[in-house]
Amino acid sequence: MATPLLQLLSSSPFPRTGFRGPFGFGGARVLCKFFAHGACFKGEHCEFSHDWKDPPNNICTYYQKGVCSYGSRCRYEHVKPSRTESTASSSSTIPSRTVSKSVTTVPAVPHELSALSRPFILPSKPVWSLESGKYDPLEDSDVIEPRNVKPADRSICAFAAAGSCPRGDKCPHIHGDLCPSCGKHCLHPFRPEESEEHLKTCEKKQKQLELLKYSQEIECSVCLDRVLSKPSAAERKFGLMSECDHPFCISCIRNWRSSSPTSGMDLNTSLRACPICRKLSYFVIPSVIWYSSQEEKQEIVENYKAKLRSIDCKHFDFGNGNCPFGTSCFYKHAYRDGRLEEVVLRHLGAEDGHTAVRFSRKIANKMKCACDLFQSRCEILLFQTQTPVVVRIACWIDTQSWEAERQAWCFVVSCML
Amino acid sequence: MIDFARVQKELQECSRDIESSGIKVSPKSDSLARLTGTIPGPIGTPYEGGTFQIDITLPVMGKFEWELKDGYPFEPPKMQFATKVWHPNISSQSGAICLDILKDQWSPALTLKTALLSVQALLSAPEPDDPQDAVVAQQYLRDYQTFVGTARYWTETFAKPSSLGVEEKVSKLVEMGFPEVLVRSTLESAGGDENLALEKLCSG
Repeated sequence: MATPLLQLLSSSPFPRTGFRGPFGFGGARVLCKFFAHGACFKGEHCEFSHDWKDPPNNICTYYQKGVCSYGSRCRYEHVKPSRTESTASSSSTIPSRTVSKSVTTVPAVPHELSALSRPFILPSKPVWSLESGKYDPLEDSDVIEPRNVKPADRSICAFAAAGSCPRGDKCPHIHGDLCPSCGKHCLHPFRPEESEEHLKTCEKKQKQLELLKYSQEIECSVCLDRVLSKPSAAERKFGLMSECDHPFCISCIRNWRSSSPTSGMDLNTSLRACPICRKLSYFVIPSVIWYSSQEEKQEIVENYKAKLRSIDCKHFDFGNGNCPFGTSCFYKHAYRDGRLEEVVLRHLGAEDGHTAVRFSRKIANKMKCACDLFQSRCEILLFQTQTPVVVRIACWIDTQSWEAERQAWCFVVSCML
Repeated sequence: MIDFARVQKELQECSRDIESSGIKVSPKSDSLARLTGTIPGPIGTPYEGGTFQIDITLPVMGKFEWELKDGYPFEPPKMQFATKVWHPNISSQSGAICLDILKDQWSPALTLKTALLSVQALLSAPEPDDPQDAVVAQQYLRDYQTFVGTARYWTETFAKPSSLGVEEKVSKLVEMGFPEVLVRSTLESAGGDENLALEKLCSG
């Protein structure tokens, strides 16, 4: 029964170069596909790695054999089988062939080769190809799980996990416990770490799904459309205001903030303010999802800032250019040798209650013009010493409190925008 | 460019709760850039009982091409009273409205309906210190009773086209010496406006 299949496998007309087996190049293990999706029924008996650090095998075997019907839309990589790869994989192919031969010569093996008492000897061959050919789990009911195997080593039943197991109590496999999040019987009762991990990932996925559902209902109050139902993908993003929690499309809010003020319209009181509550926000952050708590908002903001921090600022241009955002820029300000831009000396002369900031000359001039309008609260003294001009902001606020400093900084930022 | 999808949505939204707000917005022609808003005079003011028409023009772009401004809703809608009204913040000549949210305090989160509601609120709370019509504002401050009287008279005259029954109007005009058939047809063409009909009859 098993012989023709095995012979077919070993005498396959295609060189089995595409299937790399559980070991990739240099003996590194390949990540298990089923584990990556959250459910591998083989548990620790799986030939493939259950360690997230190991790379997945993303090479399309159909393409390597000659034809992949998905063409350029295939989700796997289309790599031509190279010589180095065939030699690398041949090392894993050869032992499997010798094993197949030993199987064909010993007629009594098929029963022992069932999934239950699988002698873990076929590292490069997918186990299911053996099983499905010679063993139907439903017909062959006299197979009994060896009692000497520890319960933690027994695999859980795939039928039960998917819904119901036709064999019920007679099933030789363990029927997993119900996962409350995904509603599948896929928690191994004797492998607590594995179930815990499943529960964790499942819960996270569930939460994300709920958040997405909630986000889908949210309307932008500028275009009156649902943000996530906009026609183009680029528009289906929220713009998070730094100081308040009113949702807008990123395109709408950016459009409003960048529109040139009409006569009498003040930049800070109208354009940079939230269209709904008129609270001033200094920046807007794009996000594909809306948040339900301040922690989530913080996370989105931090992730976005961290992403930008890894990208070199094109205005700064490795020190050759001038960034209008100065040191408040979200992008990376680093010189060619990797050295980061100097951090601003915030408390230059702090003993007299003044705050000094270093800016480029362009911004300093801009601020000098702006400070005339702001005379009542701040006075800016410019010392045109060298190229980063040192700008001193003297606060006319008595207490050198955090609030006073914050206001001074707000003013500085508003001058730069 | 004007966000016409938004204007369309606003019109639907407005017609849905016309019962509760009494505010009506309808397009003047095929283009959605020119509309007419209708607000009832607030109760307890000299404008009570009147129905005021407001011409709305949605800005397409900035004055100059290089300004690269987006139109409505990033620019405030231009509003002007089409019905004559006696109010310190509304020009008695042109109908121009002096209201901050239609100028520098505009926000794209405001809609035509909310803007009209603000105009309605302006009718019940005049700001004589920041006037549009100096004559009206002066009268409001110096002689409040006369102001109320004038405002009420203007409301009766201009904001109530159907204050009298049709039959009453006909008999009034017939008394002036015009033939009844002609009076009826002229009144109809004038939309029930007695003064307009009289003007038409006089001009022949």
